[in-house]
Amino acid sequence: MNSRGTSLVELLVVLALLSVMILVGAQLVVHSMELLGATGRAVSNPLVVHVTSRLRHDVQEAAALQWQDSIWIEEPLVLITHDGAIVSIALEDGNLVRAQTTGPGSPPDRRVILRGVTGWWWRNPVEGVVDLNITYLVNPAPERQSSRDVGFGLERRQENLRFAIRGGGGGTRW
Amino acid sequence: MAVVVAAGFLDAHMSAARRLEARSDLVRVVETVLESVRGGALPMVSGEVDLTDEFQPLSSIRVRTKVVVTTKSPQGLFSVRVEARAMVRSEDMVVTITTQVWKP
Repeated sequence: MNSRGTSLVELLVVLALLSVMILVGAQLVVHSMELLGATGRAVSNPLVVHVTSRLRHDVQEAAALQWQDSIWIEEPLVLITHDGAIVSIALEDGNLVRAQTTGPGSPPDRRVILRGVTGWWWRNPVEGVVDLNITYLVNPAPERQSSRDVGFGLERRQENLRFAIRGGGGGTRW
Repeated sequence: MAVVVAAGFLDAHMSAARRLEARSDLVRVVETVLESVRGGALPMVSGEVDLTDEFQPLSSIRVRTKVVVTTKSPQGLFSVRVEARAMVRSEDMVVTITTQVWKP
């Protein structure tokens, strides 16, 4: 009778191989879950969502523009509200700065609403419509990361926004 | 088997990421069309809309946009339905917003 069972060494080798495969698989699963979370955060970046919301509110609530230009310009966008306040949005040293002046002689309320901004353009293609183009630096999308460490390197992202001015009263734009 | 399962997770991740990006783009393009109609930059008529100059999607999708305008009462009030559609990994994604707009 020549029966041959499994030796302890063979069993250990099989267990070791299985352990390595499970370890690699588990790492991939964990990494994929991290990437999914990072993608969700990148798509709905809370800071950019807030800034977009702020700009949407400012432009839609404006009654008029201080000056109009149908071609893209980098100058500050100056909005006049129905109660006479002036809201200015401009790019200053890589920061998108919002300044609001409530009346003549009163100091403007200046706030940085977005940092890492590399481009700010706006235009007024037709009366009552404002196009905004903002370029800013963000963490690249997970699949474009050259490193598995989130935050490695930055890439430019561009937001194109169009809003209609509605604060002039009269109701015809609502 | 673990590697196969992990590959499935990774594929699901890629698919979910594409859908998230595409949905974000579709919502933005619908807003752009609505604001264009509201502001008078687009005519208040039904049809396909080409937004090549006004909107560039963040993801690599081709967006098709359609506007359906119906008259409402009182005169000058319109119901505007904007539909943005894109194919994302062989799945048809649609975002639709209907609102009422006064003729600019």
